[in-house]
Amino acid sequence: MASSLREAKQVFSRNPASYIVCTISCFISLFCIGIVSVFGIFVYQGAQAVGTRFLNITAFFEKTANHEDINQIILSLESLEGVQSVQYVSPEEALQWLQEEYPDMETATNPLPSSLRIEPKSSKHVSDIIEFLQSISSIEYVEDTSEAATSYSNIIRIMLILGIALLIIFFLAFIFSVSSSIGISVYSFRKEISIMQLLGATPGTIRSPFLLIASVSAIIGGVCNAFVLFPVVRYVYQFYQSFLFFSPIAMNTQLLSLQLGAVLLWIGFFISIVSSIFSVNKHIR
Amino acid sequence: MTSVPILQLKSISKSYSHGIKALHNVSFSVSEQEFVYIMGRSGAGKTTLFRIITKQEEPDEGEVWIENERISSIPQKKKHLVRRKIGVVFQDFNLIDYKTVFANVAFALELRGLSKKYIQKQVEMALEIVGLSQRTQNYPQMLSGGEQQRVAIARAIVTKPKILLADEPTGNLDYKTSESIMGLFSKINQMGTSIVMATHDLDIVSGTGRRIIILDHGEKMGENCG
Repeated sequence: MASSLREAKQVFSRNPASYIVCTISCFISLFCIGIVSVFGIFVYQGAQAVGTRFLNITAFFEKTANHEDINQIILSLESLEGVQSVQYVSPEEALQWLQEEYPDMETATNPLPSSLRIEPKSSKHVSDIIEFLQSISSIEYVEDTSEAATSYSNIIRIMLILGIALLIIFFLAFIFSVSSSIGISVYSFRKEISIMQLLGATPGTIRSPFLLIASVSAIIGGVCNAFVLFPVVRYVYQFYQSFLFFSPIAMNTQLLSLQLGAVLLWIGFFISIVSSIFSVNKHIR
Repeated sequence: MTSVPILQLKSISKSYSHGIKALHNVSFSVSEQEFVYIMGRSGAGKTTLFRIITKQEEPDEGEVWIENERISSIPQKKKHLVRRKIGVVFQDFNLIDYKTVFANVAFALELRGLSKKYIQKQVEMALEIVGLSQRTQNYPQMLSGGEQQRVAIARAIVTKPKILLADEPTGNLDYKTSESIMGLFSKINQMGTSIVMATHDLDIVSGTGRRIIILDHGEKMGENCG
């Protein structure tokens, strides 16, 4: 271990710029990955919150529909795969809600039919549920939210693809920059690596100083990223809440920053170690 | 001198891409405490032979045996175990610039995870043999070519290998220094280490009475006593 530490010091002092670049690359790439992930998490949470609200389907019964029919339909709906919940709204409840919304309105009779409010599990189940409801004769009218559901699904899909593409780009940039900077440092040590091999050093012993210094670079980059993520995540959260006020989300930003920082630290550490192993292995014969 | 073979090469052949034949059906053996010269011009296959013995390259055909162990059957992951049996000395010394004389020699033992006390004792002994006890804290660039080669020899023998491979060890040295380095190799050989030395310098081998193996274009052309 002492020998590895001494060699690691030499590895660093031979080519400090490459390890400084490695640390900075680690920090910048992890930060970009962190920001994209935070946006992704917020948008996903927001989509979840808003999704159940505007995707709800309302089915209105014929006046002639009796309680037995309604109970049977509720049971059938509840057995469907894509249904989250079914709520029965009697004509009296519907009128009460209407009057709460429009207090000045007065009616002698209740013109409202009984209805069902169906919450789908996700937007992809909306069409199937509507199709099912439209096939029932005692249902007079179904409020069709399938168009909204399709648009919603498309937006989510586009955002998902965009997010994944950005993450892949940042990951590739990270791997490329880290492996290049480590590769330069290893290349400058190729003579020493060849001497170590001929002196009977194990591959592990040869790799250890490079792994040590790459780990330190990754940890410094990762810790800096974790510290910077704290205020940035809070700021992004506030920005999101003010910009997309119609889909509020409740989130512990400190916990999110901590978890994300820790995950990214491990990712940075892992990539640096793997890059080091590959770079040194190129010179081991 | 005993006749127990410490190194055996059996029908070694090696070709590179573009059909270049580096070695073709080369066989010989080296006994314990024997001093053998491998002679040949540049490109005769001397270095390829050493690279195969040290498992830096694998032969296309043939077998290499060191101390009754077939090294071609040793997996790549364990090739360091083969190299620990061999000491190597090169024409260009191959010392580590940022290490002192002492640290360069000690490095061979440090890589094996040996104790500081043992390393100190062995390095002092090796430097004593090569006559550099007074230069332990110097860096390689502060030494002459002959002294640098002595450090390389000390590093090769500090691990007490059974066999020492020397690839043109006097190639970068003047005649007088070469003579003293050859004297040092003879001393190491008399202490019990087998030596295989590649050289193209006839002055070095003549009159020594040692076995000479002649290589030309990758083929063993003959074997005689100098």
